[in-house]
Amino acid sequence: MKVVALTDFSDLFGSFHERGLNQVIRHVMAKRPSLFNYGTAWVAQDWEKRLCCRPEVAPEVITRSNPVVTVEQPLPVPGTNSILGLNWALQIADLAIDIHASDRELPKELGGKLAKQQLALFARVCGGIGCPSRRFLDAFPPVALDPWTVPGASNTLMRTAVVAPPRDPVTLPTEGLTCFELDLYATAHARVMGPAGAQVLEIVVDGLEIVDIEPQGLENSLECYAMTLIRFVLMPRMRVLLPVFVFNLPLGLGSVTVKAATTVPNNPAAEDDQIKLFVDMEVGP
Amino acid sequence: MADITVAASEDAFREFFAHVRDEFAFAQSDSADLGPFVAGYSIDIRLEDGTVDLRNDNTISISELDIDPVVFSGFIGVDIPEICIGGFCILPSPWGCVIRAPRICVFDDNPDISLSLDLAPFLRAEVSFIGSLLTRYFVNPARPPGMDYLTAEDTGLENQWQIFIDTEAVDLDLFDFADIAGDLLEAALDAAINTLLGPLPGWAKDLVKAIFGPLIDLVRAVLDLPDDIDEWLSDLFGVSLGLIDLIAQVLLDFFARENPINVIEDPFPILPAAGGLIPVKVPLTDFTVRVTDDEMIVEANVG
Amino acid sequence: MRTAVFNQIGLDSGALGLLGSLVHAFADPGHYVGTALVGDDPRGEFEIVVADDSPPSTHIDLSALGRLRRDPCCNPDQPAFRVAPGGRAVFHVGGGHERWAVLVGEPRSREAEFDSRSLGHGDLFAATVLRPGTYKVRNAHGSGSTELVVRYVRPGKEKYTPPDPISIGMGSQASRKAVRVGPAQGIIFEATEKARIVVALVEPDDGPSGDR
Repeated sequence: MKVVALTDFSDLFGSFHERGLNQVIRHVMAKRPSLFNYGTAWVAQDWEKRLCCRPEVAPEVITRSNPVVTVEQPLPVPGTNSILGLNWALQIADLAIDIHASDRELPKELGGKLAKQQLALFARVCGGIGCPSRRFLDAFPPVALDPWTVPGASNTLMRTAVVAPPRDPVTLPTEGLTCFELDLYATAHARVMGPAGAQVLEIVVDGLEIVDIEPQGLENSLECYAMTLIRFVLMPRMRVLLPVFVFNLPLGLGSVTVKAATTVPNNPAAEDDQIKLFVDMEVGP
Repeated sequence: MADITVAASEDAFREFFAHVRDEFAFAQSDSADLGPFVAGYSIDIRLEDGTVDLRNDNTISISELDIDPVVFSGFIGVDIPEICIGGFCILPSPWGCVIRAPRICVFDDNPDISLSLDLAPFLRAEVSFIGSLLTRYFVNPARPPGMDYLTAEDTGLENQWQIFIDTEAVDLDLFDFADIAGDLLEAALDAAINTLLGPLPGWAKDLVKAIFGPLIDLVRAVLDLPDDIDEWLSDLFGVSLGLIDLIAQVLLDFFARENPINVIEDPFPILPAAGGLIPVKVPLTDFTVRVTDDEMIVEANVG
Repeated sequence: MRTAVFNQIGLDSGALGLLGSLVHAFADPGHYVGTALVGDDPRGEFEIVVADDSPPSTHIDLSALGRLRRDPCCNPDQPAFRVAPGGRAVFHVGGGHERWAVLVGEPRSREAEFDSRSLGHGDLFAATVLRPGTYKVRNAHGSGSTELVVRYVRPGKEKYTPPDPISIGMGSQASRKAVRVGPAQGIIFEATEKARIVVALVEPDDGPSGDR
C-alpha cells in the first residue's frame, strides 16, 4: 500500500505542531512582553514588584530597554470628572493553543472537547486594582460637597463647601494591587475568505468561557465584554492575507512564486495537533 | 513528530529543475601557455533535457543532462618554423663548402599562427550525478565569540541552517572527438597559413606550403602530436586547459555542492523589530532534511 | 613577412637584389676601396684589406653600407673588411627593394679591381629564382644565352627541398643550352669572360589551375 505523501495535494506542504506553536508563543511573550502586560505608569515603573503575575521576560528585553508593560491611563473613579483614578494592571500570564484533537478537557459550556478543524486557546489572565490604603483615605478626606437637603426641613443650608478650582487628575496612591486570576478558554476555527490571490485567513471565535466567576451574571457580563473585545478589537487585527511569496533565485535565474493551494478542502487545516498549510509553486522568469 | 515540517513534492522539484536548467548559461574564455604552443578556448554552453528523481535512499539523482554548446571554439597558437631560401654552397671544395650563398628568410621571426577550431560538434557531454541532501549549521566566521543574536542581526552576522546537495557520483564525459579531428586541424592550419601568406600570389603560397611540407606533419612536429589526434585534443582541452573540471565544477556549484540550496536564518524571525522593540526570533533545533520517492522533507524543532 | 623576396622577378648581376650574390676573388695583397651604388648613385663606401692573417672570405651587405652612410653620426668610421690573399668577397643585398651595384679598386688607380656591372673571368653570380616560369638568361656584354625553366611545385605529401645548386658558365656563350631547375634551387653562373648576367622572365608558370 502506498504511503500517503505530505505533498499529495499540493506542490509544497508545511505544518506546525501545537507543541512548536506553544513554544513560539512563549518566545513571543518573553521577547515582546508589552503585548501581554498592561497597566498604569506606576505599575510599569516597578513591574517586577507591582504586577500581579510576574512575567517571564527575556534578558535582551531589559538590556535593550524595551518596555515590559504597555502604559495605560488610570482607571477613573466615576463621579470625579476623571480627576481621581486608580492604578490597575491586566496581564495575559499564560497562553497556550490546543489543536484538534483535544489534549485537555474544555469546559462543558464549550462542548467539553474540540470539534474537527477547531482549535482552543487557554489563557490565564491576571489583573488587579490599586486600592488606596485606609491610612491615606483617613488623611485625605474627600472634598466637601453641599449636603442633600431633605424637602420640608426647617433648617437652612450653611454653605460650607468651597468651590474648588479645576485641578489635574490624581491617581490615588496605593501600596499594591489587589490581584485576581482568571482562567479563560476560547474555541475557534480558521476560515479563508475572498477571491483567489487575495484570500484572507480569519480566526473565528466559536465560544469563550471564563471559569468560576460568581454570580453567573457577572461571569456572563465579563464573557460578553471579552467576546466583544475579541470580535471588534482582536479579530480584525488577526486577519492574514494568504501570502503569495515570490522568491528571486540567485544568478538571475528567475523567481519562484508560492501561494496557498485552492484545491484542498481545509487550508489551513487544524488537525492531528497541527496547523497544516498546502502551497502551490510556480516558477517563472 | 517534529514541531515544523516542510515538504516539497517531486513534481515541484522537477518544475524547479526544468526552470533552473533552462536558465543556465555559462560562458568562459581562457588560454594557457603549454610550452611549445599556446592553446585556448571560448565556450558558451546551455543545458538540455535531463531528469531529476527523488530516491528512497535519501538521494537525488539528476541524469542525462545534456550540455549544449552554443559556442565552443578552440585555438592553438603555434610558432611555425622559419622558412629560408639560399644558403646553398657556391664554392665547394674537397674539405667542404668554402662559400655559401646568404640565407634569406621569408619571415622576420618565427611566425605565430592561430588555428581556429570549431569544436562545438565534438562537445557531446551528458552529465549525471547523484547527491544526498544534508544540513549544516553555519556559524558566520566573522562573528566574534559571545556576540548575542540581536547584535549579530544588526551586523549581518547571523548563523544559518543550510541545506546542501552533497554530490556523491559525477559522470561527465565531455568530448567525443571523431576521427575527422585530424582533418579539422589540417583545414585550420591551411586557413591560418593562407591568412599568413595573404599578400602573396598563388604560386608563392604554393611554394611556401611545399617547403613547409604537409601541414598536418608540420603541426605534428610543432605540437608533438601522437597518432590519435582526437585523444590529444580531448586531453588538451579537457585536461591541460581544465575544461572538464571547470564544467563539472560549474555544474555542481550550480546544482548546489558549495552553494546551499536553501538557507534558514537561526534564530528565525517571527516578528520584526518595530518602534524600538526588538524582533522576536525563535531558535531552530534538530534541523534535518530527508528524501523519499515522493518528496523532500525538512523538519525542525523550536528550541 | 618579407614579401619583397617574392616580388623580385628576374635577376641582374649588375643590379643586385635580394636573390643574388656576387663572388669575387682578391688575388693580391693590398688595400682597396669600394663603393656601393644604386644605379649611378653612390650610397656607401668601404675598405677591403687583403692581407695575410685574414679570413678566406668575407660577406659584404651592400644595403647595410647604404644604411651606414645615411646615418653618419653614429657610424663615423668607414667600414673595413678583411680577406686573405686569394680569398673571396661575397657581395649581397640583405634587404630592401633597391638594386645595387658595387665598384672596388685600389686608391688612386683608374682601373677597377671589380665592377659588378661588368664581371670578369672567374667571378661568380649566385642566383635564386623563385617564380615558376620560363626565363631567358643572357650575357648583356656578349652573345651568350640560355633558357632557364623553373618548374612549378605544389604542396604535396612530401616536403619540397630545393635540389643542389647547378653551375652554368657564361661568356660569349653559355655552357648549357637549357636548364630546368626547381624554385629556390641555387644557380651559380661563372663568368668565363666579361659578362653581365641578366635573368628575365619570358613566360610565367602559374601552375595547373593558374594564378590563384
